[in-house]
Amino acid sequence: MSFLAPLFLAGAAAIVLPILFHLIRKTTHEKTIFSSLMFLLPTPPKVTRRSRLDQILLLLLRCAVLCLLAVGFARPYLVRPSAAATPRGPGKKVIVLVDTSASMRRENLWPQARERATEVFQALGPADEAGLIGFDDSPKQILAIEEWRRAAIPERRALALARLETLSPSWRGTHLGSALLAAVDALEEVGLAGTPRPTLEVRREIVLITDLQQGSRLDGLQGFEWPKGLTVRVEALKVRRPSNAAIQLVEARDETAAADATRRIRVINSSDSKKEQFKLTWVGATNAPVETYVPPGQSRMLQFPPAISAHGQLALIGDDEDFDNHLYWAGTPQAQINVAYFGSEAENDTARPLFYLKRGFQQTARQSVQITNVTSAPLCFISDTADATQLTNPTIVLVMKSAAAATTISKLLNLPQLSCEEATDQKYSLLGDIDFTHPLFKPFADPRFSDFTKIHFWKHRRLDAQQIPNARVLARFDQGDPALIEVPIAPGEGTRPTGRAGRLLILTSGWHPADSQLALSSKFVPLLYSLLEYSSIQRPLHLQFEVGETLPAEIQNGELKIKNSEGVEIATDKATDAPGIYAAGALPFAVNLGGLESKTAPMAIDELQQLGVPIGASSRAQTISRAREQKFQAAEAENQQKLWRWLILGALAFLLAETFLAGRVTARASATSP
Amino acid sequence: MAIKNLELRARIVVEGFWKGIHRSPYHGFSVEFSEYRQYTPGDDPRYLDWRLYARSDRYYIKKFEDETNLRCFLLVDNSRSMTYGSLAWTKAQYAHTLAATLAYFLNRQGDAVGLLTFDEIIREYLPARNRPGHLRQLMLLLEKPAAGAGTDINAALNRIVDVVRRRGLVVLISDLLTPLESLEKNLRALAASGHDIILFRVLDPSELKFTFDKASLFEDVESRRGLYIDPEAARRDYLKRFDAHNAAVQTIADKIGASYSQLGTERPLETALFDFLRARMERRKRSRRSGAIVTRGE
Repeated sequence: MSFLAPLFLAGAAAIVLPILFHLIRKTTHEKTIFSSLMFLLPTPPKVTRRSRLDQILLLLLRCAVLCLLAVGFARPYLVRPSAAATPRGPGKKVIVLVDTSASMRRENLWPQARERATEVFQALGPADEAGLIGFDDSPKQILAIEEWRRAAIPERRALALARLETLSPSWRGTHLGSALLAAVDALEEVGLAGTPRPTLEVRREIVLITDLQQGSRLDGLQGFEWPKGLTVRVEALKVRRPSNAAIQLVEARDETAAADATRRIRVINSSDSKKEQFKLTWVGATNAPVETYVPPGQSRMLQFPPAISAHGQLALIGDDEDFDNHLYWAGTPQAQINVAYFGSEAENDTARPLFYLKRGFQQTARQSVQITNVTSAPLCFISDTADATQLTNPTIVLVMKSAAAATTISKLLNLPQLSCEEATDQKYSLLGDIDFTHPLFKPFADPRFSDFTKIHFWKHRRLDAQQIPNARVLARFDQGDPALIEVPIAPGEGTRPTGRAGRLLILTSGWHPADSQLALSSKFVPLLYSLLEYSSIQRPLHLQFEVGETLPAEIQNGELKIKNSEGVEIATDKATDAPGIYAAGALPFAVNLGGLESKTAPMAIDELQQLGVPIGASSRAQTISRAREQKFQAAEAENQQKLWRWLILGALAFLLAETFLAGRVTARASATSP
Repeated sequence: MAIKNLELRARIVVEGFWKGIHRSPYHGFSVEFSEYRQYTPGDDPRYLDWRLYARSDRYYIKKFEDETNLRCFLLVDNSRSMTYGSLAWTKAQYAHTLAATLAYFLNRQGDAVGLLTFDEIIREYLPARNRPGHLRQLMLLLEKPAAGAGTDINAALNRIVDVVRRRGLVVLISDLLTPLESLEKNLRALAASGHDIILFRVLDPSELKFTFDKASLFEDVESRRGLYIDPEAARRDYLKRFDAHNAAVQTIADKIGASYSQLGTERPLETALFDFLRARMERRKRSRRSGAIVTRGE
């Protein structure tokens, strides 16, 4: 028997009262007037000296009435084995998705996560099937559902827990979107490959164990159609001390800054942070730390003097979490690039192309372009009059300042004299048809940058591209004349020595003011750099990487041995698994934590719901709803049985008996008393 | 107490007593010789004992007791606690009869009798006189019912000290159911003024024995305070504390040389009167004895 309101059973304690009343000597409410109470002390009601109860039957009746009332009010009901209590049908399929990103290194998040995952596995029944996926910036299948199914039933749980033990938080970012999709895939595949279950729909569930940080990437979820019958249960983990600040290097890719310029550091404070004062210092430097004030949810820029050595480690002091408090920095050495220019021009003549070319290649912290007349330079520019016979440069750009430059083309390509004339029919021309698929123009392919119509070409030379075999027109003027022609030069062709291929780019106009506005336009410098890149000149190496970023081929070429900050040699594919300063050969490079990972404030689950994720109740909410359901069932059972009526009836019967008996006792007492 | 008239009641008591007193060994309340004292200039020559002068050729003053000029003050407690009585009469009725009896008795002797009734304040005051009609006035005052909620004997005693300059007799009739802290001090002040003090403590038999048997709510007649009392359990403690209080009163009376008698209201009033007279006699003897010593010393 169970009770709907068991608190009322406490009312049964009231049976103490009749027992006490039976023990206490009968007192009266009579008053006695007395002259003075000065010699009297109050005497408490006295319990009968004989520890024997009078009128046992009366007492028992009274106690019984009270007990029946108490039990009746507690609303008893008889428990029947309910049908809902026993699980029916096939088990559910569960994918446990455990966040192993760097933010899980905070406080005790990882032990919490393991505990929750263990709880999930422990709660599974023998018919249930489960898999385990760990994810950071990419999902990793730790335990496939197939493996679970293959394992013997008693060993399945141990297998899952053993696989769980192999997981640990990495230093990578969080890509929650791809992880959820991977989990859906894992469930769906099982649905296809699994044994058919014709009768009942199998429940499928993804248990997401994560800190649900704001820095989680959710791309991929938008518009995804979630399969029916699948729910995502979010077990959001929480930290007790949420204060977290991070530092990031800003403009690490800035190419205009001088080599010794100050570093711009961004200090970001998490929105749920409780602290606002932080200190920054170079690790190992003797300078006093720089103090900064960053309110929660905001960021501050700091100008920071560079490290003493070429690479260093900047540390942030003052928040609760250490995992993102270090910024590694490796200085990039300046690359020397030679570009040849052949032409009889004075350097300071503003009417000539050389003047603009020199200014187009600005000195930066990372590369220095020298304009020389070295024939071995990978890129060379020729203005019309140069002697082209000696040129062996891989990429030659011919700037046709006049129609006479056609002779140079003939010489370079070993062709007969080409016909070329000055175009004079229009006041000016614009670039009309540009081949944005070509590497040279690829940077401009985006519609934001593809507008070349603001550049007026006052003069150009009309050269028919048909005359040149293998010529490809990369850009044309609006009236159809080629503006830029590319001609590949095979080894041994023309003046070129055997074994060295190259290409010739013919610009039928010039960038100097007499010919066009090109040098003054915003396209000029990008075009020059595009040319540099196209001439396969090695770009200056960028030596700041994020964890998980693929290293460029220059570092990852297999020849350089990569060592971590302790000097231990590691495999190339592991090179960016953890933040720190690495060395590829003698070249140091820095690997830092992804910027998003420092956004540790928890995200609202609503954000997931808005993206269409079918969020189910968390384990706590499930417990509550189960308890509510049980309560409802109990109320229903009690309502059907209505045992309280019988109890109240019984109490009334006893009460009648008591009244009758008490009346008789009183009558007898008054008859015997004088 | 069946006789309603207080004066009549008093007369009956006194006359009954007169009859008995003839057989009493104590007799004679006439003008009585007290002592001889040597004459000093300024003494009234009327009191010179010429016979003694004839015999001894010395001037002596023959002193008489100031008997007829006795001033007696009856201090009657009229508080509400006096209205209690388990018999057919209350303590107050008994006390009033006693006071009336004494007044009547003294009046018949020609003494001046005064009255002061009190509860928590002084209610009535009648100076000591021996005029015709005075006794009647006194009886009327005594017949006023008790009203006061408390008892303040000290106020009454202080008033007597203040008002009565001449030596006299002070009879205090009360149940003395009050704390005794300052009673001794005030009585001592009264005794120091030369007054003779007689204490009559009027108590109901149930107060003396605590003869209750049913547990009930006991209500104080003065303060109306209630206490749940089981007499069986409380009796022993009550009697103990009551006896201690009584002993304290006795001690005080002994200290100041007052005579003290405790009167249960069941006792006949004659015995009370007898106690009064005996006290007077003892007093007289004592003072006479001390006077003789003084004389011899001179």
